Amino acid sequence: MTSLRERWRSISASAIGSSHIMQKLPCQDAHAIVTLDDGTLIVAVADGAGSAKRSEEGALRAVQSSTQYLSAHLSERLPQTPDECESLLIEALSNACAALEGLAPGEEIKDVATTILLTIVTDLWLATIQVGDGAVVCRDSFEHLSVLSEKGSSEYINETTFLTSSDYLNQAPRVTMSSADINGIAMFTDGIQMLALNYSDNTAYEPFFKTMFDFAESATSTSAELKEFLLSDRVCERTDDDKTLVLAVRHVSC
Amino acid sequence: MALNPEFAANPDPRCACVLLLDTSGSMEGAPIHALNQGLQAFQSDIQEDPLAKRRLELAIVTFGGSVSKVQDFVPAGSFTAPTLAAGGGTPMGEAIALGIQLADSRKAEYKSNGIVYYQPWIFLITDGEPTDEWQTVAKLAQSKITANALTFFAVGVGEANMQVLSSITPRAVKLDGLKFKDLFLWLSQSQKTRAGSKPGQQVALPQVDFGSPV
Repeated sequence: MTSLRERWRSISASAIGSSHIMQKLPCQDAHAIVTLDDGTLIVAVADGAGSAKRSEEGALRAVQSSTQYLSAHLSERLPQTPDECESLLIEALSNACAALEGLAPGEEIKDVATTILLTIVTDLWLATIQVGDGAVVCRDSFEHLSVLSEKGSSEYINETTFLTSSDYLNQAPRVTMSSADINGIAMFTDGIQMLALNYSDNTAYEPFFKTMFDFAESATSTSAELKEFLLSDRVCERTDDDKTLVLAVRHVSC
Repeated sequence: MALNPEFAANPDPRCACVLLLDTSGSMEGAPIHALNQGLQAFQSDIQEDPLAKRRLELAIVTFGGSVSKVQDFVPAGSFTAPTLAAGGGTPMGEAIALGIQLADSRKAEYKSNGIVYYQPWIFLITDGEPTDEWQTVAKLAQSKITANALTFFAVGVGEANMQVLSSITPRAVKLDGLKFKDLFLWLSQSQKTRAGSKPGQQVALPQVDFGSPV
């Protein structure tokens, strides 16, 4: 182990969309970030279904229970192989799913429908799993951006998969790769997708991420500023949905 | 630092909606007048909504004597309600075939241009029954509906043959009197809800207040 520790610095915000204000709906996005003592990063992002009555509770519970589960397990032992990463993420999802069943038993589970996006970055691996839309973008030391999420598989824009679907695991794409060269992670819900990704070829829109990662790297930047930006007219003109953006960058500390 | 990123220039997501309007002879007088007023009401209501204005695209096909595409797809924001006149027979089968073809080809255009889209709608209004062959195209419509390729509403006015409409789509509605204005305001509300819907939202359409589902 080196004495110089690279730590993750994160900036994040979930902000209500203008259509939700108009329809008197709450912000149904939620996110949670945990950094463990050894530098391991855990991020969860969720987008509650617009049609579900209590989806804001579902989104919040899903990100909390999954990050708690991952914190507890990653504090004990770090996964050594991609398979171990994947198993751990699947367990975290099933844990989150159980938490939703606790929140809304039986048929009511539909009322807390939510998507979820989980990422862990350990000393060895960057691993993600995804149910529903939203995306993960990572940046390497050459400033190359990779979109770690597949293009949505449903034909129509207003269709997605939820953690509350019985077969969610069949539709949960996952990626594990070496974390060695990764120095930036962005995770966001679909409210940001239209601004940040090129829809036609599912690539990251570089000018967007350049500004965002520079912002996250600046020591004076705050999450409050990010939230203000997400609520600005400039953003709301392009997207009326709730939007969550989590930015994490590595920085060196002693 | 100031947060002023450039945004990807993705086009807005689109919802295509094709109106199939009966302008046959029996619509003459009060019905066609009410239909035209309904279209006017639709235009002003939909144009109040900033997102629907950009995202909803509307095309109109009339069937009265012959089938005619009186309006090709146009963003709702630039839509001008036509004033329709009535006359002739009711070639409904041909109109439905054209409607499906328009919806399909618009979808293909969206796809090839990397535009994301909502499920297209076909909205048919008639006061009679087909005077041409319609059974073949009814089957096509049914298969498209089952395949989740489109949502099809059929509204019957006055003496409309509701049996025919119900055999085309499960979403057949009998209009109360000449409540065209309520009908078009409902359509406008539905399209606004769709245009502003979140991904994953199975949109709850407004309550049908212009007639009775069959």
